[in-house]
Amino acid sequence: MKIFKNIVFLCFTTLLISSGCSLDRKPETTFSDASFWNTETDLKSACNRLYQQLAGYGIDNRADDSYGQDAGQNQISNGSRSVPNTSENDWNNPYDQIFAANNILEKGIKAGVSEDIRNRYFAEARFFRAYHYFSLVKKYGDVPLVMRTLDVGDPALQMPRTPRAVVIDSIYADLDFAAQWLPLQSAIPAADYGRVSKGAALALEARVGLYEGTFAKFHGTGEDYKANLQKAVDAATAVMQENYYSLYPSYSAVFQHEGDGPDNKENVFVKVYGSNAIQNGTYTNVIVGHDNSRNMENGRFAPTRNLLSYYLCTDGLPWGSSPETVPETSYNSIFENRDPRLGMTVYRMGEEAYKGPWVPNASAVRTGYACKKGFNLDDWNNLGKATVDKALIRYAEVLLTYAEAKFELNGAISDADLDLTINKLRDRVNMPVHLTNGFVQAHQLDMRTEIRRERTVELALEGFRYDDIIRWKTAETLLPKDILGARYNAAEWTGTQASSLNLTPDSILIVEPASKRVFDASKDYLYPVPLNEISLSGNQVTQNPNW
Amino acid sequence: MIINKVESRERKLIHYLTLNHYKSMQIQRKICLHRADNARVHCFIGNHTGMAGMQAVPGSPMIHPITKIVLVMKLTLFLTVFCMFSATAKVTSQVVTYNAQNATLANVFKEVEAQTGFVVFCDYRYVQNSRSIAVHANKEPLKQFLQKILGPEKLSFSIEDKTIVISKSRMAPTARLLPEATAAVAGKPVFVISGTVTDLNGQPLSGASVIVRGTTKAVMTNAAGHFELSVDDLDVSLMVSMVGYNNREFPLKGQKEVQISLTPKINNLDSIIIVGYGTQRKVDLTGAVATISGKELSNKPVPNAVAALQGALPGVTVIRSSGQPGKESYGIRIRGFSSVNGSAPLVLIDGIEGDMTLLNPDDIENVSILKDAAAAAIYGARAAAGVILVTTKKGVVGATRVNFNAYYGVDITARQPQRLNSWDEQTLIDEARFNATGAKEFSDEQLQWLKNPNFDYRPNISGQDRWDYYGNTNWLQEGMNKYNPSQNYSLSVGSGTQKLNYLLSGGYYSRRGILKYGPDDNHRYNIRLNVNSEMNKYMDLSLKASYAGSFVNQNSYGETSIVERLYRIRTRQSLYVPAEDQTGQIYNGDLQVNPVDIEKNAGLETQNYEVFNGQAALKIHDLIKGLSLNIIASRSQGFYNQQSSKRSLYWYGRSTNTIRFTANVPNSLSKTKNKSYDNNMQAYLNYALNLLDDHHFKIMGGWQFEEYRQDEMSASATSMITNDFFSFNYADLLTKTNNDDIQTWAMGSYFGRFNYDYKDKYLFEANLRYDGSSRLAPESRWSAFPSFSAGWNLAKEDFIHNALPFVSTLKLRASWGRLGNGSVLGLYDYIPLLSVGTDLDFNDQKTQYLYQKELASSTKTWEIVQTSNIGLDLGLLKNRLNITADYYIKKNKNMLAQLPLPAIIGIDVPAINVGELKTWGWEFNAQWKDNFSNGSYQIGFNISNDQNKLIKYSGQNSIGTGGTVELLQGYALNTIWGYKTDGYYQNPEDYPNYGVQSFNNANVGPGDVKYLDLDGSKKIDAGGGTPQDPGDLVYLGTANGHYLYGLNLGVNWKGFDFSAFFQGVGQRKFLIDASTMNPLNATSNMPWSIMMDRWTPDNRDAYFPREYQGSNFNFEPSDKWLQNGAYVRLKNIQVGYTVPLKKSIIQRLRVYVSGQDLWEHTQVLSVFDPEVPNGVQAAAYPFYRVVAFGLNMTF
Repeated sequence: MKIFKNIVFLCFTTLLISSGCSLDRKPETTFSDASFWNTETDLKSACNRLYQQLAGYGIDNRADDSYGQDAGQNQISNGSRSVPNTSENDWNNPYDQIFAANNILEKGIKAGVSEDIRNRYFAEARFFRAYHYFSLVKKYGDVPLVMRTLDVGDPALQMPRTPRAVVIDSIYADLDFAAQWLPLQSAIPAADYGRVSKGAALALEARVGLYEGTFAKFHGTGEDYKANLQKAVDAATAVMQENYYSLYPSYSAVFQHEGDGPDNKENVFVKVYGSNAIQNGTYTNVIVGHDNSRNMENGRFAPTRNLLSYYLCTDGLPWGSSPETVPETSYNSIFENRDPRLGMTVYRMGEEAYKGPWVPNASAVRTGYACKKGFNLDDWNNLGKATVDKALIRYAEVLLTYAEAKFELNGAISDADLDLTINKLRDRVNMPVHLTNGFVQAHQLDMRTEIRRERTVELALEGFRYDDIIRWKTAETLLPKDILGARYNAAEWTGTQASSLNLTPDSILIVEPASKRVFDASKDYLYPVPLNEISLSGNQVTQNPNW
Repeated sequence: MIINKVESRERKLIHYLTLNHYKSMQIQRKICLHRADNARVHCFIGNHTGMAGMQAVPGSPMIHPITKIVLVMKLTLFLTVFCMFSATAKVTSQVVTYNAQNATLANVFKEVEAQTGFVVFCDYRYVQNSRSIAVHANKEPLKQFLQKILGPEKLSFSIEDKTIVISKSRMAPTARLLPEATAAVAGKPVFVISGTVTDLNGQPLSGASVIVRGTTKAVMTNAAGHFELSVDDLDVSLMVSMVGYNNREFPLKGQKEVQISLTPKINNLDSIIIVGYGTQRKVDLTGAVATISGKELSNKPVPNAVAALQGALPGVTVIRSSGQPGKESYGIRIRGFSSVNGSAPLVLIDGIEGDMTLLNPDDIENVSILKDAAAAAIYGARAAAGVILVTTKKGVVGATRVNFNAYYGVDITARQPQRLNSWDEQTLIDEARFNATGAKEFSDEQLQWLKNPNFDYRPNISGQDRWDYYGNTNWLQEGMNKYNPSQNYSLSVGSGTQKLNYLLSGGYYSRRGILKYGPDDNHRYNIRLNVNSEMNKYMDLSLKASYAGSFVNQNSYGETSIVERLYRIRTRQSLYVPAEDQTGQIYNGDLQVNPVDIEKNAGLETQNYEVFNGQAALKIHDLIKGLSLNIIASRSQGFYNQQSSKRSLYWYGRSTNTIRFTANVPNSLSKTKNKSYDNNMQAYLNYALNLLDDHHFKIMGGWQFEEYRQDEMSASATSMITNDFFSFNYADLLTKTNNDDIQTWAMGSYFGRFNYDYKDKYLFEANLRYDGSSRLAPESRWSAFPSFSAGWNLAKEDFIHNALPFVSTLKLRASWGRLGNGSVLGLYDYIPLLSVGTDLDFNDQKTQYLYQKELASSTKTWEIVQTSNIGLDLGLLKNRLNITADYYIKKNKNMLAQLPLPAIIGIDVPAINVGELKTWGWEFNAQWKDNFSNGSYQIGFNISNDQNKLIKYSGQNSIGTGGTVELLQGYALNTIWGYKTDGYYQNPEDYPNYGVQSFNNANVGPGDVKYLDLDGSKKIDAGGGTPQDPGDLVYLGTANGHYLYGLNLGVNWKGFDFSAFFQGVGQRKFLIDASTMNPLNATSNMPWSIMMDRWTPDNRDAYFPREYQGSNFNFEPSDKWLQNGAYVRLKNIQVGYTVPLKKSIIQRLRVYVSGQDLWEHTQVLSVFDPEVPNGVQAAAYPFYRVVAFGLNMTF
């Protein structure tokens, strides 16, 4: 019986041990969502995600103003565009950010904060939601409008595309709310520089209004274009009347460290890059960096002759037809007597450029023209990472939007409005001639062309060109043309032999011949919807026409 | 007590002695047969430590050494074993207390053994037919007791040391079965014969009995296999016998010193197989279990034990993904895919979850692979992908034995891409550029400069602060070694008694990688101590302690990144800077970063993982007859230590004013350390019961609790005060970061097994496990996993036995069960968690943001895999031919999968139980083993195939634009979809004439791939991106291997041994990454020698299309680029010779040459190994072949 006792004892012990073994394990170094969303700090931390997800610098070679050498950077018009399976940047990322915004709007209700504070952060969320829907609409037209978070199994996941106008209305509603609750830029402390302001919401609204208004007007898709243009005018006016924003005195400095920070009142909405440690005068701890300078040096984007041709001569007349046009005997001839912004955007030969003086060549920079705007040797040299902020909305754009929207709304623009806008931009760079109705008439120019020219020049290589030619419906004529570069001149192009270049009879570099370029107006004005989105929605989401 | 056949190692058994040694062999053979029929009475069967003693004799390959053999043992072994123990065995008492009415002799002897600690030897026949006797004894002296019992039975006895020898009364035990007992008979001439008994490999056999024929003189060999005995006459024959070996008659023919080798017996019927929480005789198994001995895993020049498993067993797939030392990423897949979510089997080392790649292969006694539900269900929720049970070697009983194994291998990189010389490289670049843009990069003159060996550089004539290069550097030669050393040493010492014995082993393995300079190696150290002790007659204690440490040294820039750089750097760039260079730099990094400089100077990254494991197992047995309790507790303590010191490198132009490239700027230090523990406690009861002699029941039930916790700290900082001293103490204050991460889980389980058999013929087994895990929400935490199986030993039926006498084994098996798979479960998936990030800048301050990365899934639970198996075991011709065949179906009823949802959801979706995967397949294994004079040979062949189909997937099906599609309802996993092609467009008009819009429509020309418009849409596209509307895509195959096979051949002859092992895959398709096939798509990537075979007007039948920069349009997934991954490979070939040594301190010495992966046949593109994973990239660290020289020594 002693044996039995032993066994009973052992079994009992075993049971005791087992009952002491709990299976509950809680995360110890990860925070649970249920414990969050209580304070203003929580709301702010959640909204911070929106800023982190925000894209800053990018490479945009979609239009005719810029050309890059690496794969996949200009598939729209080089004939290689096809329907993608998924599109991380164009389709998925905006929706990821829309989720983050919707999530804040739903869960932030719980926070024990005042209505003002809640609405301020809700306004941030709604600003970003609008921002990303706008990027979707520009590319795809109609897109599914998701205004709440969706869980697995939610039938709304199979929703069809929402008409463009409805999405745009939602964007306006979000931006109106944002403009109502966001603080003025002047009220945002330096430590929070980079957070969105009322001005940013209004400026974005102006951008949306102009885009939608002109798109509808030139694509003939709606009579309501005027309402959109009116929105643009109103929103731009509101920004201008805030009397806070102004053009930074130096055009080129806007794109350098000098233009970073709240002292530059031209920046309306900025993606902040930065570094928090400095050793021996160089940044050593990049918090958020970008490759913009490196991309220029490696020729991942470079201005084309097509872009250079937009810059006026100093007499205010177009290059080529102006008597001031200098024959291209030398590489630098094209820079002579031109709008000063050209010299701030593209390197001259011999100018200290990426790694020493610029010598024309087409080996890395395929157009033979090296981008100067925003290049920062220090950033490149010391870090391989640049930390110059990226202005996503500049006051200059607001002015241009105002001018263009006014013009497209009324078919005309007053000299007063031109002085308020375009001529301010010209004055900043000491462009000697103002744009006036009189000047246009005197030289048989076209006001619309000149307003668009000003926009193209001022915002060159900042990622506007493709959107512009889409909404103007000029892509179909502009994109299938030769992409041209600099004029080859054996004496100046040391190290480059003509035989290694594809040249026109005038020795102008053909970067990509027209024969290899396409733009099909019947389909290319909208992006193809990723195949995955169509099949995963059970064909509720449909493909854009002719794709 | 009468002995049951079951689990002999867990029982004390009685030992019956036969006196006439040679006759006893015959008798025992009969016993075997008898027993095989139906007898429940068995002759001596080894006890626990006795078995260990036997295993310590690295025996012949015939005794399947993996298995805990319970061969019908010869008494000789026991005598030897006993003799060895007797020196230290504690004498318990020499009085006997025993009262019984209906005792048998066997009962009595057993009791005597138990009470006195003496061993009883007796001829089986004496007890076989003994009648019941009544015994009454109270503290009766032993001799008196024995006389009282044996007298009426007409038996007598003698006591030698602590052995009781029973004999017929009329026959005195003249042969004293101890070496010293062989005294010469006075007055006659005496010759002293000495000799050694070995197996065919020359391995000494201890415990073999040597008898002088026609006499009763007998001796046992000692631990070194030596014996000495005296004879009157040198013309007599010696009869030599040994458990597991065929008897041999050896005529002395006048010799005094002899060397006798024994051939192994072919018989694995009674092999003991390790199963979950216990053992089973192979003949009683109803599940599908494959086993392999540690011996078959050692002596192979491979990085670890997993690698050695490759191809060795049917249904067991071993895959590797890299050749980098310590990072080979070996994976095991048992019976195909059980789930799309990692089908890694549960690996238990001595019952505790562990990492097989960290084991010293020489420490492995055997490996059991539990493949079906019957075998694996006892491990419940983690067993769906199969279970691997590794048992380590136990203590050695007997004199101290030292084993030393070593090899030195030369690794030879194989099947790797080669670089072009600079002018060929430039030719391709120019073609690619010209075809895409109409302009070349280099003029003809520049091309000539490249070819000019005397013109390597000049100052940059564009006036830039640089040089222009026209050299020709063979970067692979500069940066990689073709031959690299690997080595392995293993030393073990063991000795002890049955009561207390130990085995201590140590191992060292190292391998150097391909990088010519700097760190690129892996070292592994192993120490293991296994101690067994019989504490008293009820309790056995075994203690195991082990240490394993794996130390990987690699370049902080990353080995694969360096390999990629070596493949991608421009050949015209020189290794060193021009002589005129004044920058002070040595290495040239003008066009691209210099990988050789990086190898030497970029800094060291170490990744060290060390694990200590301690385990105590207490076994309490026979408190009640047939009942035993096992209590096992173990703790594994892991330490991970990663440290990376990144040195800054700068490459200048012609002056230090121009930095051309940098690496690791600013310099930085990062460290990650974690400490983890894994506590495992288990307790289980075994109970065996026999009713009416023919009904045998076994019940096992137990409980297990396991908990894991890993506490990790990581920190980093940049900008050290110098580039050569790395410590956080001297880093830039503002750059210091730190993070912590704690991971925990716990698991509780109850499990049980029931076995029943009738006369060994009809077998039935049921298993149940009930598992709960902390990983699941409390309400869905627990699940039950049952299995049922049955077997029919047809060979034991008379109608088979009579009709087919050549059939020695014939068994049908069937099983059904449910297993769980939790490998994809995260730690806290059911709780919505917030991630945190700091890569956000406000006001030049790091700013925190919180966000939810993935939706939570409160309903998530285990995948339930329902498995059915039928199997056949067939042994023919005295089991010389063994065949095993199995067919199985696995159904993963609720497979966890990431539901493919429209991206509008905007957040990562957790895996949820939405899929249903069916996997089915078969396995076939045949093995022939036989002996010939002075030798033995074996041939084994195994082949298996599995297929799978995703039956249900609650999502929309998408094949997208082709390539590899992991999940697709109605198809196998990892299907490959692509376009059909028909060569190249050869002439400019071909494309327009074809009239179909292809990729890169505006630029298609001669030399481009002609994709076929299968759907007649006049456009090459993916249609709707679904299998129903695939456009021009077609199904091209799957990336998983099918028809996996292995073939091994082995011959032993007079000390020579030879083995060859082929392994192959009969069917597999895979794709190579497009950017690897088309490097010139990007300007910074360089082509390889294979790409010279590209389309040109003069080479219209080329493998590669015309070069074209900036677009992969010729490299869309298609039948053109699909690789036929089928291969057959000479996995291992080995030739060994056992050096005959006489009276040396070294008892055995075997030397061998072993080759690994020396040859293969495949149609895969010549620069890629056929074993590479799908989607392989340029940066793949190449695989290698090995030639190794090794030796095995025993002292």
